[in-house]
Amino acid sequence: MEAMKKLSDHLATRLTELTRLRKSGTKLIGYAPGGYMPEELVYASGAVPVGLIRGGDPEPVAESAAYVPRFIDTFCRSQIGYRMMGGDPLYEIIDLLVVPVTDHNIKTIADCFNFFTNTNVFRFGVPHQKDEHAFEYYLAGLHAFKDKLEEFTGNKIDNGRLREAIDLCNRMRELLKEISILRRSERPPITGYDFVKLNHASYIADKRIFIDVLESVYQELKGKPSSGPKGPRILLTGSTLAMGDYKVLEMTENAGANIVVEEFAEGMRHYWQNVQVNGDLMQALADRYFRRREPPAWFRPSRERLDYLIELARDFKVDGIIWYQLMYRSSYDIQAFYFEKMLKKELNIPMLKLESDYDVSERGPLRTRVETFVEIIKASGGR
Amino acid sequence: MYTELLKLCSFEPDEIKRERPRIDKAFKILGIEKEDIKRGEQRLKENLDMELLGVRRFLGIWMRELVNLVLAREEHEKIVYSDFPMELRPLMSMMLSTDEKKVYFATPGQILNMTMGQIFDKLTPFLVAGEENGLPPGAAHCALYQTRLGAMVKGIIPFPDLSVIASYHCDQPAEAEQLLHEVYGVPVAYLDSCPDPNWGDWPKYNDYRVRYCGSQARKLFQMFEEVVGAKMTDEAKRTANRANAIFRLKFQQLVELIGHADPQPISQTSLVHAFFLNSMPTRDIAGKQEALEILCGEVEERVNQGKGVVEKGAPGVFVTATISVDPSITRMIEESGMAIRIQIPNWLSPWVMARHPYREWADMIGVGPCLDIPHSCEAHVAINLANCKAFNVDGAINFYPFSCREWVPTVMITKRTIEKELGIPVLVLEGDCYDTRNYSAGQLRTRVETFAELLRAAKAAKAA
Repeated sequence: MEAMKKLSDHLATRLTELTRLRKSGTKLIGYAPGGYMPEELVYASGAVPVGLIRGGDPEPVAESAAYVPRFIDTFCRSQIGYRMMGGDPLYEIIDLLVVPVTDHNIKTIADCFNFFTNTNVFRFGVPHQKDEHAFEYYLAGLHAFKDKLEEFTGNKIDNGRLREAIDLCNRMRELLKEISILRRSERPPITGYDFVKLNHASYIADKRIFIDVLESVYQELKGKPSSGPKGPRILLTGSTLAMGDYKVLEMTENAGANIVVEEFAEGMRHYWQNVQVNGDLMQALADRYFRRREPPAWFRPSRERLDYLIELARDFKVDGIIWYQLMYRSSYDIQAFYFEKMLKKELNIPMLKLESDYDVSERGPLRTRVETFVEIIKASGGR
Repeated sequence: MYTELLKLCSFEPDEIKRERPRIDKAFKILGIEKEDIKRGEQRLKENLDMELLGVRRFLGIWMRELVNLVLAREEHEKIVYSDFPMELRPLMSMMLSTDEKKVYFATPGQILNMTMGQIFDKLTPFLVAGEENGLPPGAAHCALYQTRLGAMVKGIIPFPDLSVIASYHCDQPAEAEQLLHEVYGVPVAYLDSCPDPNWGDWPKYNDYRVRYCGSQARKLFQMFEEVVGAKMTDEAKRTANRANAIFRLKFQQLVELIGHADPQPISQTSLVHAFFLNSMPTRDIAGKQEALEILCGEVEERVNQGKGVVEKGAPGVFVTATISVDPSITRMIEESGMAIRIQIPNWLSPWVMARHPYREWADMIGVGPCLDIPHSCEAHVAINLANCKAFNVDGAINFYPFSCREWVPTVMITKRTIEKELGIPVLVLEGDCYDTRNYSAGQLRTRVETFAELLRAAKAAKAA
């Protein structure tokens, strides 16, 4: 696919481009990819957002042990490890790290960057439920973040620039959604693996180039006859799906199943909802990023997320769910316990719970479990 | 079979006689056998300063609560649970707004830990049941919440009509209570907040954070009134605030008295029962205050007589292990010849005592979760440092519970800060405050003894 090649070429030179931008005075704003940091504000301030979403490698996890004991979510420890190892320049060229605090795992990234490095860190809070007071709290955090960006970049965020940035990000989400929806067809024109890589690229790529790529990909896939492989349709969900952590995707698709939709708290950009630009733009951002954002497992009541997953499973006609969580993300571990029963009752489809600490030795047992799961679905009359 | 044990826990013969049917019934449900009683007596004598009446009085309060907890469903119309780290003032205020005969309040996890854990060493069946019912092993789930869930699932203690829980200090209580709600239909009210202050904010707190937490407190009280059918009264709020303040201040005096005495007058294990009553809403408010007054008097007497449990002149340490279940770590540190001057979070920093601008009661409740340890990692570290300075210690032992998501990130930062700022060594130990299966004192002994040697040598060198 020509468009994918263009994206690949762009990503290959993106670091050089970001370095050049930084030298010319543009601020680079790194952020934890939990879906609560509106990139629109960063663009409107004249800075460039950079999602820190690498994961899946064992070395950074091992490295992090010098700074934090192991009983913190694997992805969060990885972020600390990548920064301390110094192997990934993206973690070092950022001027400011923004951490929307969702739980103590994510907060740990901010604490370690604060204490052990010279990185500027800014946090704002994400309450765990959605009443009006919680909305106001999140909104107050966004205003504080806006103030911080203005102070940090020296640029005023006015409504015109913010509106422009919202339009840009809305268009990107629309396109990701259109492409994702194509996977509702019986033989999806794009694999889960390719879609996830596309989604991950959205955290790093230049938005305008990325939107061009998405336009082309969408046009190409739309006109393409459904030729994807037939196989059990899987919903992949869980705590974090990081850039580079593709083992479950590969194992599942190699076993003959199709991952047709994903839902993750972190790592995967949420594209189902757009910012509605009628009225106050800050309120509109809070509405999109907090009130209408699909909630992660630590939100209460937990039914909102579980009902949403069931709806997604129904909508994409899935035959099974793979629940992929990282070690010590306790909210996901607990929710998996009762979601499996709920799923059985409401859709009568199976669920496979997998857990990872980004350890190489996990691969064998994980592969066996994934293959068995796919075989069970096939044997029980799934596709 | 339990008369001697209960006498050790300051029960009078009349009370034992009067309460026998209830105690028999509760112990039968709990599966407490003759050998458990024997083990309990032995553990108490080995680990606590049992000659002190104040300690025995506190033990009595916890033992009575154990019986009350087990029989709560048959003796009360409604049951309200909470557990650490929920603020005591709102809990007490709710409790005091209700009729004692109708509504039972408890922190069941703490009660089970202090009795079935610390006295009888019999928590494992509850932990296993908790692990099998949604809080699996090997994932660093909080053992406090495994214990209470397990005890409910096993039918040892009843499910409550309402659970009141805090989500500001750590993630796990709210997550575990979602399970209780989804699987067992228990209504849950949350005191919510966000641990989001920026580095450098301490000791300030932002107004909208307090207001948010205050709004959640109002919501919580509303749910309490709906579910329990009681109206919160101003008199209850006043009594709760007053009783809490009086107890807390006296406890602070006791902690300071012990921390500045040489030799260390009593074992820090003997303070645990009083400390955890800072978060347990017992109706025996007069009893707990009286126990504390007695203990203070007894400690003062020991200080005046120069009596101690550790040699005079022993190196002093700050320890972060206020362990309700297992006294062995604290005892081992003391037996290694170190005087534990202070244990976090026994001592409150002056900041907590400071006046704040909030007048609305719910907002005042909201201030609590925005202060001190719940404030941030920065605050946690600053308070550890302040403890070390205030008690002029020679070293620190950071025993951290590996399943505590709030505590874990602070461990290495605390170590490096104390070592850098004060030039004293910090020993990091890994364990669990609520589950003894994951570590043992024996396993850690060599490191503790080596650390004690190091401190003694450093102290001798300094003196020379």
